[in-house]
Amino acid sequence: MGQPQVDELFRRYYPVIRQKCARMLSDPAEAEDVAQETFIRLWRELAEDGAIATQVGWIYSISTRLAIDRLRQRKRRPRAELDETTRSKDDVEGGAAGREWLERIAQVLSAEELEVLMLHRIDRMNQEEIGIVLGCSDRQVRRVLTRCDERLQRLKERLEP
Amino acid sequence: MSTHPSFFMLDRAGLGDAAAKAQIAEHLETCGVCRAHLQALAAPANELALQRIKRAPSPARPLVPRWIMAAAAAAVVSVIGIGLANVLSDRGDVVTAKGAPSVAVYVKRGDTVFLWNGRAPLRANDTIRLKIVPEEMRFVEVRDASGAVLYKGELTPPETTLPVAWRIDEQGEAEHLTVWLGRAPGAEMKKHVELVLPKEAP
Repeated sequence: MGQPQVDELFRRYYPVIRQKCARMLSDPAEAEDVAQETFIRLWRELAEDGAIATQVGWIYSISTRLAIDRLRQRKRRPRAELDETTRSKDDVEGGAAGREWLERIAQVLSAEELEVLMLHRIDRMNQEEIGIVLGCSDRQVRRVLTRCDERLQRLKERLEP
Repeated sequence: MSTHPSFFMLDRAGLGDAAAKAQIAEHLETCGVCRAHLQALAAPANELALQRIKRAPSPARPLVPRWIMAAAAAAVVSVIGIGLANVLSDRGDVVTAKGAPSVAVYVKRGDTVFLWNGRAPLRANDTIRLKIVPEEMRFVEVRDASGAVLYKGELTPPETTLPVAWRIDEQGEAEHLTVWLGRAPGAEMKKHVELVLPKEAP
């Protein structure tokens, strides 16, 4: 791919990627790193295949997984800090509170659960949209979300005096 | 639950998806927050980031060959990551004589697959998979530290990627695998290489 195409691709997709990463990661530098890595992968895929049919879904999927890697690489936090893992959905949609919450539960949930939960609560996606992005059924998404709720609830009960 | 459309829908609309635009048109008339999100997408991109990206390695060749990606997708266990052990001469420390069997370790970490360099610590939940260039050998056994056989099967030249993968757990400081090779099933097996895969401290 020549440079003009890279520029065009960047101007078209990077704002979407950057905002998506900023929603997931509280550290702006880390969000920018993940955004750049996501874009480089997008660039590679387009260079190799010539087209991406579902660009936005692809961006969401890849950037979410990269963000999860970052979150899970962080040192485990003391268990006492996990006491707010069951915030309500409205509390955690976007914003700093949502990102802090995410950092806490990243140490508790599996990567698959985190992926679905992030798309649902941070990106406000419904089960059908998540199914499209992840290539699975609404039912599977529902099952994962239910499991997340149960796990977080159990954790909360364990931590409560 | 929010009454706003998802960011997924907003971003699709922002990139010109007509169906998404139609779905959110009514909401946008009354929601300044969502309008602001779309306006932000139209703002000039960060040119410094573009310069950094241009300095990154060329995208013409993927870091991981397609066949590995295909194998990873097909595997039941989420798979792969690698390190070379006892092989691949141009990668540093480990060199074998030309014509000798070789074993490579592929590591999958999150969405990334890479060839293990023989030293880097692995992380919990990484998965590893072995690729073997068998040369004259036709049978393999992979054993754990206790000598228990984790996998055995035939090898097909020029190279065989084993159909199993192993997930790294948090226990212990390293994973120990030994690869035994033989000229045929039932023939004498000889230890070819011992892989010590260090783990990152939790």
